[in-house]
Amino acid sequence: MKKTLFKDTLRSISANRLRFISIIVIVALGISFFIGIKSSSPAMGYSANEYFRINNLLDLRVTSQIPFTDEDIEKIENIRKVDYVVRSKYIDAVVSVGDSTLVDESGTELACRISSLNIEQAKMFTQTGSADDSYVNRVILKDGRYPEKAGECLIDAAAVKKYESLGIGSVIRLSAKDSAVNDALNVQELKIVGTVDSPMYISDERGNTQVGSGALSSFVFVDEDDFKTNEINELFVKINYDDIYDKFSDEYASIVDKIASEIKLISADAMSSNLSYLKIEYNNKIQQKQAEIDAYEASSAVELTNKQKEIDEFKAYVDSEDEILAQKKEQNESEKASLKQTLDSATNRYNTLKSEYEANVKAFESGSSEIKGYTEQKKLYDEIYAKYIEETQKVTELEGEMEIAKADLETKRALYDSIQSKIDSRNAEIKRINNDILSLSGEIDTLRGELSMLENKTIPDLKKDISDLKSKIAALENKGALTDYETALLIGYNTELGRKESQLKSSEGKANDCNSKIASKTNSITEKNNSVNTLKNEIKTEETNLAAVKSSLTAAQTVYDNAQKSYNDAKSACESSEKILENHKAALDKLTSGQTKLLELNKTIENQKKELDSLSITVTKAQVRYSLKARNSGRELQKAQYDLDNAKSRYHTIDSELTELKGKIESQKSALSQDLKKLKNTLNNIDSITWQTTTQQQLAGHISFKKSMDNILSMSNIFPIIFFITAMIACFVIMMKNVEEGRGSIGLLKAFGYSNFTIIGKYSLYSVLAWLGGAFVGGLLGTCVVPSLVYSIYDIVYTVPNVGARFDLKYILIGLGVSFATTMIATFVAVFRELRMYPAALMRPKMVGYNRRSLLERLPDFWGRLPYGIVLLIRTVIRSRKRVAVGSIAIACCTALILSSLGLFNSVTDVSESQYGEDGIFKYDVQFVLNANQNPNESAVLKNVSLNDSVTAAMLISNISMSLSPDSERKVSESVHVVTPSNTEDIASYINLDIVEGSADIANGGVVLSQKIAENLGIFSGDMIYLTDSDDVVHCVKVIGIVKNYIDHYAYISQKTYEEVFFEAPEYKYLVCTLKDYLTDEEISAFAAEYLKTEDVAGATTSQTMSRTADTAINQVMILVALFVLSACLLAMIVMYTTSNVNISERTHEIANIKVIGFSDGEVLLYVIRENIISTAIGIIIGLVSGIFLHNALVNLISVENVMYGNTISLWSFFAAAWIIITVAVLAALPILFKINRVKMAETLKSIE
Amino acid sequence: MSYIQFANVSKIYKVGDTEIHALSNVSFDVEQGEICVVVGPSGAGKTTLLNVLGGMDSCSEGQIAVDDRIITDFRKRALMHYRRDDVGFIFQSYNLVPNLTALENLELVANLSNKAVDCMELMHLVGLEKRANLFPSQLSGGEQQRVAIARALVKKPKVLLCDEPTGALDYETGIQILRLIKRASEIMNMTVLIITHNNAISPIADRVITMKSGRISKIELNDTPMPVERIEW
Repeated sequence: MKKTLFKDTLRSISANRLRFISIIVIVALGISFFIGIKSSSPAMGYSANEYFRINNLLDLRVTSQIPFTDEDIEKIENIRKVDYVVRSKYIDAVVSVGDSTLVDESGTELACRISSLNIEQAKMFTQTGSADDSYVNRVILKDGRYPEKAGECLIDAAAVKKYESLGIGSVIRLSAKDSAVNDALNVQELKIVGTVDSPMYISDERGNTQVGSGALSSFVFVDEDDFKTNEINELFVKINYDDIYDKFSDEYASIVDKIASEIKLISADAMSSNLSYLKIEYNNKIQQKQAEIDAYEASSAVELTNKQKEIDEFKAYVDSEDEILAQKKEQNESEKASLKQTLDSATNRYNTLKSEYEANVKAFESGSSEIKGYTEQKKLYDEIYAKYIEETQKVTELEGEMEIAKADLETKRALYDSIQSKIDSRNAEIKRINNDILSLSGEIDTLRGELSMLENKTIPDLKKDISDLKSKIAALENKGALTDYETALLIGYNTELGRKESQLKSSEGKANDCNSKIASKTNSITEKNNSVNTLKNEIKTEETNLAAVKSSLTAAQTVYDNAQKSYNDAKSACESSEKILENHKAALDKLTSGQTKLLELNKTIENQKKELDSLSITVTKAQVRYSLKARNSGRELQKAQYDLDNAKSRYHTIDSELTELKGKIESQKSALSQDLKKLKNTLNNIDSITWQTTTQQQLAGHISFKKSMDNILSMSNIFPIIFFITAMIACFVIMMKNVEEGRGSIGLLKAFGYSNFTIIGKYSLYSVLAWLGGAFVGGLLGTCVVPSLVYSIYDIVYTVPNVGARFDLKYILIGLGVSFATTMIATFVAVFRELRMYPAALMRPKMVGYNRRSLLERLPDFWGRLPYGIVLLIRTVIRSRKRVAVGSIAIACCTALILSSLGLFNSVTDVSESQYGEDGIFKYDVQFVLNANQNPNESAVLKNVSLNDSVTAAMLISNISMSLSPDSERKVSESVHVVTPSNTEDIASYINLDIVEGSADIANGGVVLSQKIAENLGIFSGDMIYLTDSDDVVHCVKVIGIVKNYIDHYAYISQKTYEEVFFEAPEYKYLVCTLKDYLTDEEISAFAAEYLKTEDVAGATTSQTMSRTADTAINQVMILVALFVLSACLLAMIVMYTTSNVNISERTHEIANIKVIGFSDGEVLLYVIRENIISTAIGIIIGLVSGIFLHNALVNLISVENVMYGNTISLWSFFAAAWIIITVAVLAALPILFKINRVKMAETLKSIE
Repeated sequence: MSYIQFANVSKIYKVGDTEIHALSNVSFDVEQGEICVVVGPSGAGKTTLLNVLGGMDSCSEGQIAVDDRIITDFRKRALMHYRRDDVGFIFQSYNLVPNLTALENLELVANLSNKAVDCMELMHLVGLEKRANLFPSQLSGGEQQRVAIARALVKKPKVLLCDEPTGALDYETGIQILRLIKRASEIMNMTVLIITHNNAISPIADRVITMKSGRISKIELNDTPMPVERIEW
């Protein structure tokens, strides 16, 4: 390749780094998931095989009820391909810690397998890591140390984790009920000194046993020497299988099975040769046992009678003693009562008197405190009195002084008054004269008036009239001849003139008169004025006198006033003093009377005191007498009581001795009869007794480990493949687009004359680089990380250590090859398509599919009426239908993955709630494990529990583990709990028999089976099933119905049917009860704990503890779910991001165009990602639908054999799945918005010329 | 005040350490309703001028006012609305959305505007009413450009910016297109800016601006523009 072209490729990678990285991530995700999940199962298998190899796990375990003889072992060793045989001893027993039997998660007794262990070899192995071949099933010490002396043991590490009461240092006791256990070991108590894992038990399942409930719960190792017997009852066979490594393979299984069947043949031989001998031996044993029982019964009866006699005698003694004590008590009581009466009356009298006396004393005290101020008061009074007298004297003196001043004042005042009166009289005189003067002047004025009248008017008038008349007369006279008339007239004038002249004369007289009068009057006025002046002078002199007198008077007045004032002051002072004195006097009087009374009271008190003293003596005497009596009688009684108590306690000891004896005899008897029964059983079944073989693959844990591996394997056929396909589709599309985008440059290169080969090379380089990156990362993750992650999930359940990456080259090659092919084919197809064209056409923009019309457009009426948005939508879909299709598929795959994972979560979480919850299968709240088989009609425990206030109903049930098989040959089988209710009709109150098929009416015979086991073994109602009990006897019964059940397998059977099928009555060792609804979880626990203390109850389980244990087992699925959801999200995100990234760069021109037109960034985004939205919507819908089917397939694949998962997906999972995808889509769209923002309109549009 | 005003507008691109002066100190006015032709050789800064005026790019210095609004002060969002409502673009390469028919290309714009003209009417105007339902790839170049003109006119822009509208067309078609632009300008009283390196177009303009290396070298006013039919190149 040309150097420049190489450079160009590298440049184009770095120019669009994110897309390149996306391709790498998609490829990596696809590859890692595919390889990882695919190789998880082989990796687990490898780990397990390594573990088995290192720990030298058995190939076959052979056990026998009759000890193996050396001959037997030799025969086995001689089988072809058998490498060697290791001998071992074991015993199964129910164990207890302290007094309480341990109870496992299903509420049944904890059965333990105690096996022998060569401690030296084990130690060696732990220290050096290697051991002799003869050390098989090598244990791994997890904590603590190996046993060093007898009585020390190692225990199952898982059990220590599970049961709190177990731990290093705790002591476990083997059940004493089974004499076989007593015989087997040297010790009955084992101290735990260490915890171990054993390759025989890689999971929680431990297999079956013949003790307890039938299910083995734990294992214990003790030193070989701790076993009493030398009888070998367990053989471990190692096989020489050469080249077969995988212990889970069918080849291995066939080899081991062949050897197992050969051993069975030997077993039949060994048994038949021993048969007659064994029969005789067993008959002998039975006879011996019977004799032993008889002897024991006889001896124990005698012992019992003696004990009873003893106790009866003692009882009589205790009774008589009791009576004596009672009599004594009575006598003492009466004497004490009379003394008490005397004492009480004396005390009473004393008390009343005392209270009276105390009241008096109190009164006296208060009285004396009242008169305390008497003397002071008196002194005060005396002082005030003296002051008062003094003041009175002063008042009298002042009074005298005042009198004198008064007299002086009065003489002065008389003198003053006389002068004053003189002045007054003078003044009056003056007044009178002045009045006279006034009247005189008035008269003068009138006279003057008259005068002026006369002078000014009358006289002139008269004078005028006269002159007139005279003139007239003269006139007439001058005329001379006078007529009569004139003469008369003249006469008249003359008369008149005369009269007037007289008148004038009188007036002139009058005037003179007036003048004279005025003169006289004026004179008298002058006189009068003179006399006034003299008078006034007199007054003046008098007034000077008066002033002198007045000043002396004023002085006298002052003197008097002073005197009066001081008198008044003194007087008022004296009066106030008098008042104070009176007050004091009153107070003093009161005090005086109080003192008198007090003296009287004092006398009374003294008398009372005397009386009290005498009484007190009386009381004390009575008291002493009484207490003496009381003490004496108490001592007497105490002694009697003590004697009685002693007697009683001795009686009780004897009584409990008796009970103990009875119990001992009873248990001994039952143990003996158990032995007898066993012996008889063995004898009866002696013909059918064979050795039991268990191949490695049949070990309980191995079965489920295989199942888990298969689960992952089946899951790996769905999940990673869908995932891988999705990734590859996305990869394909992106690679194609990548080439198409560069068509211009392809055209250019072609135009330059580069060969097609070179151009392909350029693009192949890009693809190869991307693929290499993805393959490297994906390969690394897929081989190292994912399998470990998956294994870590199963690590919780299995003790097999994760050895490390172990991968299948096949899957790696497939993963790498397919991804390589996808990327390369995409590149080639795309490049070839482009190369077919002429350079000119390549340099023009691609015009594919733009003018395609949808079918709808052929209906113009309809098309025309569609909203513009819809038109645009349809065009988008049609235009980019390929991309929409691919996007939809990718999103549908992711949605389906997420939905089915969430659905898995739903299915798994539902389980424990459906089984143990409020409306679950098990309605009962508490299950008790009882110490002994109960008779339903007369069980004390049942009665006791039923009567408890909290309990609504209680019933005895029987629960036995058996192996169930659909065919008589027992090719396949699973363990089932056979449950028998003591009261068939009532079972519905405790267990919800929700019918799936057939009927639940067990009273009519037949069994009702739980759903899961029926499905596992393909059993339907009406089929016959074969139940194998702990004695390996097969019983056949008909299935009448199948009921819902989620955890464990159950077969319900009525008592009658049980007896018919198993030829014996069920052992009612369990008691289930439902409690009142209102009880809280704590109260339920308390209730259970209360009964745990009683003798009959060995253990208890509440529904809540049951569901808790179930939950922890379920959690492992969660992590797988989370892993799937996360990776599906990641894939969806990257696919969506990359497709829209490609979309954008393909359409930058268009984006610039519509941006120029005036689209806002948001509108551009909507325009561009419209197809993403469509593909997301379509993808979600398809994904949700297909998710349901995927979920169904998954549930069927992952199911653990004894758990029934629900196969419904809850509504929220649908919403959550859709929501997750939508969120992822939105997140993937964000960078696009950013990119749109960065599209430069001017440059982009310019670029196309 | 003139309808379009360029005042001392400069545009400087920085490419690494070197500065490219695409426009330097450009000032001119265009009155409303005028047809203005900007001529000049390639690289004279004509397209930059158009981009800056059309709100597709920002200028480094100076001020541009359109209809009394200073668009150089506009923020991104205001620029977007300016493009949406006031400016019509016609490109040499038509820039139709290939996925939509001719009519739908018009509707794409009509949906954004509230003063949109009836799309079918416009198709009439450009003489393509019978080919309205064809896709761009089914139309000839002249027809595509006519659709582009119609699309630019849908929103009744104040300013019509044409970047070498006849550049990819033959003479006949070019004349047709120019006539259409001129008619539209008269009908709608639009101000038209035509960018071309083809000096032959100049006579039809009211105003001819000649540019050379980012500067205006000459502004000519033409009182009697020639009818489109008479120009030739």
